[in-house]
Amino acid sequence: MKQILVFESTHAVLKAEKWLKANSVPYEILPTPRHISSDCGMAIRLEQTEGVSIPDLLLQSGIKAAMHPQENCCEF
Amino acid sequence: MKHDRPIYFDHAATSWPKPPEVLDGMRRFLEEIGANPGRSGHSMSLDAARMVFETREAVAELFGLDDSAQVVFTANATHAFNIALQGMLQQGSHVITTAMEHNSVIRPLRELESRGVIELDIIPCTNTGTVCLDTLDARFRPNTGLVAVQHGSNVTGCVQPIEKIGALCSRRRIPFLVDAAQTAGCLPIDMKAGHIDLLAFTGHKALLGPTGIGGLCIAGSRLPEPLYFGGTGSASEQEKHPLFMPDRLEAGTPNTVGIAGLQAALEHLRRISLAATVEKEQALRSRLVDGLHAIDGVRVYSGELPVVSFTIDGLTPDDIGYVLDRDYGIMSRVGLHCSPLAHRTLGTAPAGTVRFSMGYSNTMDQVDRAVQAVAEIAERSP
Ligand SMILES: Cc1ncc(COP(=O)(O)O)c(C=O)c1O
Repeated sequence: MKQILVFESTHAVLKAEKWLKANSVPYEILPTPRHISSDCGMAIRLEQTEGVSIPDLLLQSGIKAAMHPQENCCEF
Repeated sequence: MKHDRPIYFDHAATSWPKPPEVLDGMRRFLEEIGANPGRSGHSMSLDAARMVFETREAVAELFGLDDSAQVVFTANATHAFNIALQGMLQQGSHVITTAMEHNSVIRPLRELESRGVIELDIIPCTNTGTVCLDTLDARFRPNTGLVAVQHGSNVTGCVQPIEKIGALCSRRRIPFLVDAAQTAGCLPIDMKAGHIDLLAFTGHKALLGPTGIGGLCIAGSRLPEPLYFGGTGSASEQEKHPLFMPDRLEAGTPNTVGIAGLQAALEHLRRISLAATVEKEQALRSRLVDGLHAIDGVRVYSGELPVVSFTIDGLTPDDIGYVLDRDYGIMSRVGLHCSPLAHRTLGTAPAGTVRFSMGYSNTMDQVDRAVQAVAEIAERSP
């Protein structure tokens, strides 16, 4: 299932992007879906991997993210 | 006499010419990206936000700051000082600064003093402009809320013992603000080694970026209160300004073209290496200082940076500056250099000095021609 990660600031989104690139995790950046409450207008969408928590890994690098399942979003 | 190629010796005011990469970086941003960073979700806006993010990371790396979210872009060093001083100082704080500071530090402090917010203590320096550590140490009070010190002088080029001053402040847990306007791009700066809590820089001097871009770097969790409030592209549904960094201290559309220029300038600096720049500028400085010292009637005020002041007995600095420009095509800066306190410290107030400040684009031949010009002017002195 796809997950949406939301962040406090644009800076945090781009820090997360740098981490995802460095760790070869595929992702997309998209406008934060309206029904997800977020401080920041951009969000990151990625495929959830069994047994791996990307938000936990990001937090270990000092990046706070909240994760939402994509089930409620329309899929583009 | 007309000069098709001026000798530009005013790098301490602003560097010129800028490296071609800087112009290319700014042009590329305007032509290919151009959008407002972090405001809209589209890919051009995202590319603009990435450029700003990468530049923040490059600034953090340059100054040894761990978290690039603590780099705030400002219009210049003056803007950074105003954010730091007005945002950090609380009613009743005692502030220590030095008799070498630039007006961009002194004036906001004098303003806070006249509003009755702070008590200001300006410590004297030696007659060559150096802060005496014992004098500083004796001025701390229980309510000392900040120490503000210039890293390098825009009048004499003298460099303060920043790491030792930082250690004194850090032992007392007093925030230490450093003015790196003259030293960023000219000397290595490490915020950790210097125990620096707040570092203000400007992009248009030795960093070789464009005007209109500078920054405030903040180590640790003591953050200034915002000086101004507005749109950040984040927390848009809230009417209150967000308090997380860097949005806390950055409201309104940033100077993206300036940031793109700064990014290119930092890449340029990395490519040519800071060490090589320092070596070249030191060679220019010693040649100039040796040449000026050898001229009768010339007094020289110099330190470690490629910024050298001098006077000629019997002539005023403004006359000397005028003749240097008219007859020799040499661009100098005369007078008080926005630093009346520094000139009082050196004994050169109220007339000030003539300042030659050099940079990466100057040559030994230009230094020799300038020394020759000063010798000829000194000879004409009554
Ligand atoms: C030592 C020093 N501090 C601060 C400044 C202020 O820089 P800016 O005018 O870019 O704000 C300057 C230069 O003008 C300077 O030489």
